[in-house]
Amino acid sequence: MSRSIRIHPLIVFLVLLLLVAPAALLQGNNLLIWLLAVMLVGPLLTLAWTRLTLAAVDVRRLDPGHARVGVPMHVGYAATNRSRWRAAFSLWIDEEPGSWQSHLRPARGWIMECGGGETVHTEAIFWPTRRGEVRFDVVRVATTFPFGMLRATSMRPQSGRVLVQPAVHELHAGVLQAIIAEGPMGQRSQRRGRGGDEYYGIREQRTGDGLRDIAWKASARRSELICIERSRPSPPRVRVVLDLSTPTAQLKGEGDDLHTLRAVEESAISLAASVLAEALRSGHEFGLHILGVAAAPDPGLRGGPRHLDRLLTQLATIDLDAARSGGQIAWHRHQGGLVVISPDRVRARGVPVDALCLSGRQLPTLCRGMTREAVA
Amino acid sequence: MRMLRSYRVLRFAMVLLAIAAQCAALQSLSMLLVAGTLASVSWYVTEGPRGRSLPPWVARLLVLAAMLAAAVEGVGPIEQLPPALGTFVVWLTIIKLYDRRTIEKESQLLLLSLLLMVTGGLYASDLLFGILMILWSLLGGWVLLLYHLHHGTESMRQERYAAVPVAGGTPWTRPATGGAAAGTLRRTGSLLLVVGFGVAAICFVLLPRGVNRSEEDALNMADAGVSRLSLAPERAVTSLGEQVMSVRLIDPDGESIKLPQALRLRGSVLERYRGEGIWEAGERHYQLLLSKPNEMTRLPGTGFRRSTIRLEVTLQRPTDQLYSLHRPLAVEAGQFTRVLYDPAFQTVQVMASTRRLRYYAIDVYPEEQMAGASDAPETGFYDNPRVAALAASLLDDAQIDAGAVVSGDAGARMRAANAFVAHLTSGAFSYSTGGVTLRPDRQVDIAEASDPAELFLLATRSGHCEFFAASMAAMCDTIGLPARVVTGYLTDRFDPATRLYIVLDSDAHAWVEVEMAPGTWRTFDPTPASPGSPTQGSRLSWADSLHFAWERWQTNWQVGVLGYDRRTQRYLLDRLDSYWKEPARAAIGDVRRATGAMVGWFNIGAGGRTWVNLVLLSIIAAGCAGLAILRRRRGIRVALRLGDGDVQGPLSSIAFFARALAIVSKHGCQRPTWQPPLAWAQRSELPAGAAPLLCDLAQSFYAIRFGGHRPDRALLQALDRQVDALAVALEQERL
Repeated sequence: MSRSIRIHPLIVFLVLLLLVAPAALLQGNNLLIWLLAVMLVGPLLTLAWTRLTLAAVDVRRLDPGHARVGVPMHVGYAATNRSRWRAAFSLWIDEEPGSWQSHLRPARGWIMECGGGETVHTEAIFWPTRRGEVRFDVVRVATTFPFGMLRATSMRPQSGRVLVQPAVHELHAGVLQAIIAEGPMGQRSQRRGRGGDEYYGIREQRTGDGLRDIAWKASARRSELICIERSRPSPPRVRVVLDLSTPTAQLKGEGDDLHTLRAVEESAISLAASVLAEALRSGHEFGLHILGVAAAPDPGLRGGPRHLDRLLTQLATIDLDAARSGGQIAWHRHQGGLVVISPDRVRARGVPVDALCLSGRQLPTLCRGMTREAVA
Repeated sequence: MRMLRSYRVLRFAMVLLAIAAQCAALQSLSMLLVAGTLASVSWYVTEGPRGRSLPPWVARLLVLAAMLAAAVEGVGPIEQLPPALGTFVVWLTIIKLYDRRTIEKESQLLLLSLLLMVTGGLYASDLLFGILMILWSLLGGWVLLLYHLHHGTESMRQERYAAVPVAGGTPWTRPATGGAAAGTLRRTGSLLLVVGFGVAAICFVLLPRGVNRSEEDALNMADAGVSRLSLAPERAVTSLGEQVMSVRLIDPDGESIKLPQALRLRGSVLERYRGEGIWEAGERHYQLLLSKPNEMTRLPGTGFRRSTIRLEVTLQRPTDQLYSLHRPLAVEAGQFTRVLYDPAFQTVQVMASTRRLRYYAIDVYPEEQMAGASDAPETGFYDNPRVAALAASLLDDAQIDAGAVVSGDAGARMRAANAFVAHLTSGAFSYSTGGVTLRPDRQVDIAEASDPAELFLLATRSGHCEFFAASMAAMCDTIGLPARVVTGYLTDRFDPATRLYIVLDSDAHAWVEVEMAPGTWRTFDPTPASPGSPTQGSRLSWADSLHFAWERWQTNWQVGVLGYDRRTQRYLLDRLDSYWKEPARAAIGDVRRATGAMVGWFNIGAGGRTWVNLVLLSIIAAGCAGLAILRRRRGIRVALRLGDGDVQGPLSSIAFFARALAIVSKHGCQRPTWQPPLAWAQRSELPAGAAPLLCDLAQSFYAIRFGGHRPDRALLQALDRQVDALAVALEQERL
């Protein structure tokens, strides 16, 4: 298998210069001296032009928003050429290397031309590889135009923060169906009341009904809990509990090293994100509770993409290196379907019997078109 | 992209041009045909719809074969090595043209085309190669610009496809450009090429180099004129028909003219006969003159003439002898040259100069009349009774009194000279440049002939112009008529397109000048107008015209560009010096005079000049300070985006906020144009220590800018200190 060797243009140029210059000057050959003069002018012109260009160009990073593992992140840059007459060509824009490199795989932004007084927008593409928060500190602009032998680079300090959300995979259809379907666990995600508009009647209380659904007067008359039946049922509810209370080192796994166990935890986080996304696609209301690590206050059960984004942001900010605490949750207060996800197959204490327990190791089997290798 | 659409075609044209240049350097038409055809076909093979390329193993095999062929060709003298290398690079380029198209391969093609030009430059001296090299340089510069952008586009595409996996979708790879990218590229590229080639030309002129030895040799072989004429009947005369010079005749109105008769350029004068057919120049009394560039140097004793004809002569070969039509009056050699002028014979020569003469101009008398020494010239050098008898018989036949000729009767002299010319141009004599072979029955004549002139006049009656001229001069001498042989050029080869006379080495000619009256000489040409003779005349076809023009350009290229050496460099720099030194001296002199006048007008007295100088320096310093202030004010206006009438108070009162903005911007927090300063200061993500400072500064700015508050000096100093504190806070945060 042949492997191409990439040589820096400056080295090629210097080698050529070393060949031409002695031949030209020692031999007194005017044709070679002309070529030598042209070859000398090239870098000089490049040196001057690149410096002048970068001195006149302002580059600003546009707010990149959130990223998600497995989805290309486009970071926009606005380049303004302050020079009135001189155009800027071939501007490479990227971020100065830093901690973000462990989370993102970059492809630089490139501006072919930015005319005098113009503002041109370009974007660099980052491929997120890991969940977490990354910081950009300095925007780097470089150009080698016109003759490409010397590079001029300019640093533009501009701090920025990007939250890389965990990867979201498409689950098999049966996974969420198992939570909301009729049957032994059929009522897990069902709830009546609150959401329907029209009064339909009353009925006896079932699991999943909220306090607001109870018809108190009727209950007092009958000495049992009676709930109001609405004409249209509210959407099913799913609550995902991500149990990270077990420290990484104490997770079960024969022969697994710390790196693998951490990958399993990441898989659990990704599975939680996938379940939440699937719930949004299915039109459910959903919520997230994270056990074991410090997390933002529970925003409750809601639907919609903004709520999903909020929850994914919570998942993105999980710091697995932080100390774990045995989180507690009032399982009985949960209404709707309950999905408990833990890195390994560990059932938390007090988990209701009808809760669906999943583990991070199950991610390949639960997701469509995924293999264990792909997850790894 | 529209601006890169022409890249592939131009790149291909550049490679083709380099191959053609290399073939021109090798002077191989067959290689041009084969290599050019193969290279052209590669466009359809590799760039066409099928886009095929050579398999790598075939390409390697071909490279090996080309290498072996070059090695075989290069074995031998060292001079064979560069052409062998050039041939190898041609084949390598063609093989590369059939290779797969990748961005790396394209850069290799560009490098190979550069190598083609470098190897060609090692041994090429043709104008054709020079033209192709200049074209290649221009095209190469433009292609390099386009290649740079093309490379950027491809690199960006490759980076994005490498960063984003297939499952991640197809990344966006369209380059970002401004509104009128193609036009901007054209303008910028043209500017860069013009500047680049201008600077390269300056580097070419200034780069150090040695003395060109081939030019030195050429100088030693310069045409020094004919100082000795030796008639040898058996010797054939050959001429190559190469261009010697081109002459432009300019009349007093400044128009280029064509003479009704042939152009006769007078060179050396040979007045002494030494016997055995040898004519040579006698003792000379030269006057030394210095000819300056762009200035006609008047020759002494020639008198003032209002209307003159000017000859502008561009030499294709080096010369020490200046040729002129008629009688020269003034000369200019295009450079500082020492000129030797002979007033007795009106000939001009260049002293053994340090530089080759490429051009000279001579003002001449409009009439065909030559002057001579005022004292009577000597006669009787030629003593041959048989030739004397022939001359006397010719005079008798023309009924001319020999005594009148000797006594100086101009009419008799004219008739005598015409009689000799008529005799020589009669059908009895023939023009020939070949050696003479006599019939056996005339062998006795050779035995009896004491010199070649006698042999020519009485026996062979065939020869070239020198025989005719020398024989006529000999006949004139035998009857006491002063005559001299003149050598030079005779041509009527006029190019109407360029209005130039083309002078070839085959136009070299000899004729006779006869003294009509003391000090007045008249030209007579005894050579008959036979085929091959300069007096025959010649027509110039358009092909000849083109050929001679090409020869002139070729000579200019070889002398001006290839022959540019240290001497020429020094000469050129000396000339350039005169362009700036003299104006600078004049300007300094003007300033001194103005200063003196001012001192005198104010009557300042002793030391007044010093005071005036101090005042001038103060004015200059004040101007510089004013410029600095204007620049600072402009900086404040740009930073705060202020118009001309936006601020009522002094602009310096809000300079502190412009400085604060610059500091904050330097730390990566730039104010958007749409956001008011205070709102931006309140919402900016600055460190805790810096944000309040910026808010305070913004409020102070608002108070001054909009609130009509006029800050005093103390407040401005306090604000400046606050800006310093802001800078310190940001710097600490950064660390």
